Amino acid sequence: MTGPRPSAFSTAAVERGADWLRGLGADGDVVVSSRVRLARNVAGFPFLTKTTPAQRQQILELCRSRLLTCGIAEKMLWVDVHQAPAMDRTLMVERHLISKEHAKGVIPGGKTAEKEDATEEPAEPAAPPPRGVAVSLPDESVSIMVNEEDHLRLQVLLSGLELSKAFERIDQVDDLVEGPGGPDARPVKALEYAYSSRFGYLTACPTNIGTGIRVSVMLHLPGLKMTGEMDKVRRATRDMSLAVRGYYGEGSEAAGEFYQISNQTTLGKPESVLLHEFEQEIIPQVIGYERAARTLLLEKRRRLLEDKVYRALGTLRFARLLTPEEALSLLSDVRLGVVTGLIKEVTEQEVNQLILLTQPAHLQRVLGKDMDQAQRRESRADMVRQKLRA
Amino acid sequence: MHEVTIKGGKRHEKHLCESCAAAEGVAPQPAVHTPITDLLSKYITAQSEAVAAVAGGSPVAAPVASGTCAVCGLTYAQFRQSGLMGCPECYTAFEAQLTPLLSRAHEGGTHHVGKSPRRPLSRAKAASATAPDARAVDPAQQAQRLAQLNKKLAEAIAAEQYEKAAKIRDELARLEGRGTEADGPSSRKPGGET
Repeated sequence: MTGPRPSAFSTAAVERGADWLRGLGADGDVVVSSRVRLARNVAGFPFLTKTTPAQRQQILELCRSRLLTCGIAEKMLWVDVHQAPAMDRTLMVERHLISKEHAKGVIPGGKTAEKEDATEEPAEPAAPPPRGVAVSLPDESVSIMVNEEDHLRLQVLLSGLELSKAFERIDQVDDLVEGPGGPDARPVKALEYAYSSRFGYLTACPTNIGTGIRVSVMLHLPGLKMTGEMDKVRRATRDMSLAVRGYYGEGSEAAGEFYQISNQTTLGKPESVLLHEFEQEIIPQVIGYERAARTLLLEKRRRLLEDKVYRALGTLRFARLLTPEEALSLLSDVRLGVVTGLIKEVTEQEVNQLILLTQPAHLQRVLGKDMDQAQRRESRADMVRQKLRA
Repeated sequence: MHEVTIKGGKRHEKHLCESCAAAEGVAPQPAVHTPITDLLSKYITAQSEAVAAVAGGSPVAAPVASGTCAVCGLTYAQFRQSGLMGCPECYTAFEAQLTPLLSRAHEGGTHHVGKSPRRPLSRAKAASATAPDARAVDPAQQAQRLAQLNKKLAEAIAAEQYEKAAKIRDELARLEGRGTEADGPSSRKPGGET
């Protein structure tokens, strides 16, 4: 690790896990987290593919000063992502505060500017694209990426099925960032968003225009996987113009039966309608299917279910080497055991926390040392064994 | 078939001119097309792209003069390659080609409904000047009406009923002009109020 700056995250904060993984919100047995994000661009600038380095810097500074002073939260953390240690960038991806692309410095429509694997030797390029993220502290529920695909990507991430709450909050944050409107608006350094009355909020990619809203939930659907009904859900969601993605977001396969479902339509429907359809109609149905599958398994295939979840717990308690994928998959099975009431010796919260702590950057930060992949496998297994000790 | 479109569309020429003129009154770019050709090219593009999409091939390049955004220099071909616009003005420059793409990507949606910025933008102000009595419109009703019309528009295009599509398009433009009226200094559209 040759990070030029000290970490922006304390070890205590890292170890504490993330609020969105607390398993405290509504329907937490199925819905891990709810996320609402808005894509916005600052009027008067081109989108990022067409900006000059000077303009990018200007956008960054404009947004940073706005985000840190407009009253989003009592305390805001700002990270210059292009100057952050590689470990911090990965840490933020694992905490879902920034996207992988933002960590890597992928120029939209362009090439990777920074080395991908933060846990390996990071090779800083000559001029990393200036970009940043603002995060509300201590809950980290609001995070705003600057100079990602759009100038601004605002997100609110909450535990459980809390989309209305998340939407209310993001709507408020959006207003704060934009600043006071109307004739009374003082000449504060407010932002003017790129907007047209026909197309709505203008975004770099036409798939986001209009409301610029993406509403998504992370669901844990091991029951549907076991009963072989996951394909049905995939087909149904596709028919409803929804996207299904894996734990790690766009382009990732489902790991550990965690799925992210999100809307794709952003034009022609108001936010309220999108949100209502998603939160009141679609997601409750999926939750219902998953619970029915779990009940079916408990009633008709109990042995199979017990075997699966206890086998996973056994492996985690005795394994000497664990990859992050295997850990996530086994923790998913144990989580199924916990939420169905079969496993009583471990809590859902402990499982959720381990899901985060077994990921590469978290593991290294918690153990306080940099490790290569082989060392991490060993340390990961050690940590899990210790935490789940019988 | 296409002559019918022209004849049918002509009846609405006047109205479209108004809205275009309003939009161009504030936009820095000069008018390139007469609105009726614009309207026609949209349907032709929609048709050829729909056919190409069904056939699994790439869409036929639309014969539109504004193949380049005058503000940032992005060409439509570059957009098709990267999927990303160069600047906010690209949406105006490529409006004709974009309409069918947007409709496909957004379940038939072609016009924004929902939250709008709090500060009055120059364009919104100008557009609102052409629609005098919009404050009486219930935003929720209007949203529903717009959604219905967008759906009908997509259906009409799919059924090659271009005359009908032209009418719906005009109705949408009219409603939309009215919609911007609500952009008062602090008033909000329906989506933003939840």
